Amino acid sequence: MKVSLFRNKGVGKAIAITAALVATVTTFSFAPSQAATPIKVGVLTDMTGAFGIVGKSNLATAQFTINEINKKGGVLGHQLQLVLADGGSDPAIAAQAASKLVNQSHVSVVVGGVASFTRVAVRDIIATRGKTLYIWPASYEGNECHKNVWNTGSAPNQQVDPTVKYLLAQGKKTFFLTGSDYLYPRNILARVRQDVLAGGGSIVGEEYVPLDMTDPSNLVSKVLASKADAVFEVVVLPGTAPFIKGIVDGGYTGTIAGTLFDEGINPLIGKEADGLIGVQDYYGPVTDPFSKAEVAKFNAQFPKAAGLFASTFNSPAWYRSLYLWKAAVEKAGSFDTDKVNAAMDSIGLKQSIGGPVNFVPGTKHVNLTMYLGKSNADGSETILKNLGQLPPYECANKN
Amino acid sequence: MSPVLIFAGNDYLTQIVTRILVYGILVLSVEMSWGQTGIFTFGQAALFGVGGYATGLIATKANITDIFILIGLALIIGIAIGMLISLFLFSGRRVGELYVALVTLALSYICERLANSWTFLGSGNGVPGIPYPSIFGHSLGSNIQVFYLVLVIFILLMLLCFYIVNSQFGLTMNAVRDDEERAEFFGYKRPRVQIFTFILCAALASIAGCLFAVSEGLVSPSMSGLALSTTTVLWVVLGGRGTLFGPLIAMAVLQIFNTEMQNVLPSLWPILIGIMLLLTMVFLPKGLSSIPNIIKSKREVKTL
Amino acid sequence: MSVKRNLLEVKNVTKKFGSLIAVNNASLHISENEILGLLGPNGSGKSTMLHAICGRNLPTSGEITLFDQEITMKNPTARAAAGMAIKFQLARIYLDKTVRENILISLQAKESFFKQIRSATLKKHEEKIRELATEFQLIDYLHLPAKQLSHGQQQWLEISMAVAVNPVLLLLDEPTAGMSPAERKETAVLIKKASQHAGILIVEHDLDFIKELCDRISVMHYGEIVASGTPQEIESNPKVREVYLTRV
Ligand SMILES: Nc1ncnc2c1ncn2[C@@H]1O[C@H](COP(=O)(O)OP(=O)(O)OP(=O)(O)O)[C@@H](O)[C@H]1O
Ligand SMILES: [Mg+2]
Repeated sequence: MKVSLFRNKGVGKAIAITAALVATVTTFSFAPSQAATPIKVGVLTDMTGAFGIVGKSNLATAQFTINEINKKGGVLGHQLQLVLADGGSDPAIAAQAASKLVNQSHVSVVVGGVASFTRVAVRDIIATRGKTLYIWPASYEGNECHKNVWNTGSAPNQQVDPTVKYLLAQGKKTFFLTGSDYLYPRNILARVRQDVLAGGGSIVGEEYVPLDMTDPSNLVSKVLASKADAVFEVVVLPGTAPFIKGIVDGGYTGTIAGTLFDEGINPLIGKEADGLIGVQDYYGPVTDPFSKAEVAKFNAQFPKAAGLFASTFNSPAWYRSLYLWKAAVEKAGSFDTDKVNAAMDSIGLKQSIGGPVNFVPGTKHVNLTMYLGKSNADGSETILKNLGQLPPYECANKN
Repeated sequence: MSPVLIFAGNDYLTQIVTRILVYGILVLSVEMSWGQTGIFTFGQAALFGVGGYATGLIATKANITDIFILIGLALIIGIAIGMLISLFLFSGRRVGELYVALVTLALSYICERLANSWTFLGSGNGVPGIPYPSIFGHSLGSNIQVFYLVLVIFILLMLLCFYIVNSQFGLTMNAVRDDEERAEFFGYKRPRVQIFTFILCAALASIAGCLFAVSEGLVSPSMSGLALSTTTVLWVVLGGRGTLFGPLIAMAVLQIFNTEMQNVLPSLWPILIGIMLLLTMVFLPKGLSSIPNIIKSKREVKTL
Repeated sequence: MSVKRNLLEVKNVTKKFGSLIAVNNASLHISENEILGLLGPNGSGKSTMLHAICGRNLPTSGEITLFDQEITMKNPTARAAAGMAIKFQLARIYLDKTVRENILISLQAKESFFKQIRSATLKKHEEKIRELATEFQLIDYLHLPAKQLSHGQQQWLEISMAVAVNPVLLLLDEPTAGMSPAERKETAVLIKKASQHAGILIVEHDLDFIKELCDRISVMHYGEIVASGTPQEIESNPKVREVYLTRV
């Protein structure tokens, strides 16, 4: 009888299985890379998961902008081809999707990401390991100064400073700060705290709630008990609506301000949106002829996404991202990452949706026209003030 | 045939295969604990996450990239947690399979929540920007080099598992799995067998987590969560409990289809997997890898 | 003849399942190399008594000592380590494992994990397995899964697994159930042989089988030990006759 360690199988089988694992996967064929003519633009957004609605808006905006560029002759004579990648509202899925864009589709540039966790998840895959240009088109918490990354949304100071300034000017003295417990709300509220204290106000409460909070009753009672003159809130979906409804219906009479109110989000809050204060780079009533004409075209061409062109969905930032990149490529005369990267630093657009925009050299962020807005019960916005172009205090220009 | 030729510079493909090998180590850990020893663990993703986060934090905050140090530290933390959990679960009187499942499920839940809300762990953002690892001071600079590293470690660990399962200790694991009370009457120190196995599997899962971190460059809360824990069990169910290679194959096949099907049928795909799982449990309780045996025994019946 | 040491001592053991008293204030003892038969009708508490001894159920009250060591509340592993081995009433073997693996499971049970991982004792055990399998007529089925064995063969397998480790105390719960008279005879020989190294407690229904084999017999009825003595004394005990005549 055979006396053997291996009661049934041979070691050979183990090795064969490894080989089979590797081979099975690798035989999966992928389309051969195409002739160089169309230039691929990676569009990374969340088509599924919590941010699915934003993804729908982003895809339409990207498609609209790329169509427009193509109609005008493309970039350096090349037509653009949109390659969509679904980030699934999850950093791990986004990382895989980004890798596919860069390593398999070999796109020239990636635009996208909805939540900050997506940006940090994909940044190194695209910009460091992938050596590809990455444009992050979202208003966010700041501090993104990576070499190949370009930020086209508003920085915290552009949104927060004027909002707090307005509140203080309205005579608000005591502030209650609250947000979901992750990077974005924490950084935004840190800026709010700094501005409030610098302006002579005081903070009477600061609370963070889990990202997926849906029952805000505890938070609501804390806010009501604080009797603060103003609430600055960065509670993200799905908690936004229940929280605001909760304090408004609970009889809160102070002012509620935040970074995430506009025609995109207000309908989700309902009539309690009445009176919400915020600053964005675009609101529906922006009346300059260029913005008006472009948004009208967008609504006509993408009836399914009509009404989804909104600042909180990053629509204006998506639009300018693609045009800024186009301008930089044309200035560089090449799609080469390093050359485009160099050209990006000071590139600008005389007109864009929301107003003119330009990168401030060394900051990786843009000079942005901002508007102070007040929400109405029907979800629409009233522009209280055109704040003009505000500089970003980021990277080389941090304060 | 060298993998370099097969991948033909397709870095994405390299990454997919690397991920499959990393998940291979993870699924081995579930197979060793549940498949071989009957410890119904829903917590392997938690330990995977622990290894991943340990690596991610050490690599980004302390700038340590040496793969041996990273694996070593991930191992220490993984083993420590594995030891705590298993001492709690197994050192007393026998507990039911369901109890083990619930406690480990809770572990996954807690880990995911912690990862989601603790600022030190990056909150919802996870830990991004994990650099490529280095070996003996030589820094790996591309996905293909990381692939080779993962491949070597995978083969070593797979051989280790294979060796253990086919050793006398493998029989001990099975004896505890098939009838833990009976094993005690023979004199087996049942708690020790379970604790030892659980720690071994915690070690495997945390190594897998470490390799995931360095190969993907990112760890995020979902890597330690319920969804992945459940998926690992699903791989073992589909591949066949107690077959060692079955779960590996099931995982590889599902992963390949996953990446393609998510694009083709994003909403239908999870439902299809669910149906597949149900069908397997009803018609092939021993998993897909039992199909050859079933065919063989049918033939034998015919020739009789 | 040398004085035999007292091996197992069961003192006033009671086991209750809720309100049911399965074993009631029962005592018994076994000396080295002695075979004690435990007789009694269905449901009289014989298996429960065995389970109290091997640690499957802890007694409600009473005391059990092995070699003067108290083990009443010890776990099964500790009792096995002290040299106890059991064959259950319904063979409790590893049905999916082969005969060889089953015996190996018993043989290696107390060895260190590191020896096991290195398969260090495999060669040694391999010999013992063949020896036992020959003795219990299982040699032709070494590589057959235990579930394919006949009922009698499964009983033999479990007995062989129990005797494999040279226990000092062997507990056999109905070892010949479902066997033919010829098979019973052979089993009796094997048990007798095992008693050279061990004290044996054997539960049986069949008085004829047990009186040949046992040195002493205890009879249980409704959880109580109603009689104890040599086979001859038991056979002529009117109380036992009553129990058996009214029951069988
Ligand atoms: N785990 C248990 N829970 C409740 N009652 C039990 C349990 N085990 C045994 N009993 C009851 O205890 C009594 C004694 O059972 P036991 O199995 O010891 O009898 P036995 O003498 O071995 O009978 P048999 O000859 O049928 O094997 C029976 O009435 C039985 O139903
Ligand atoms: Mg019985």
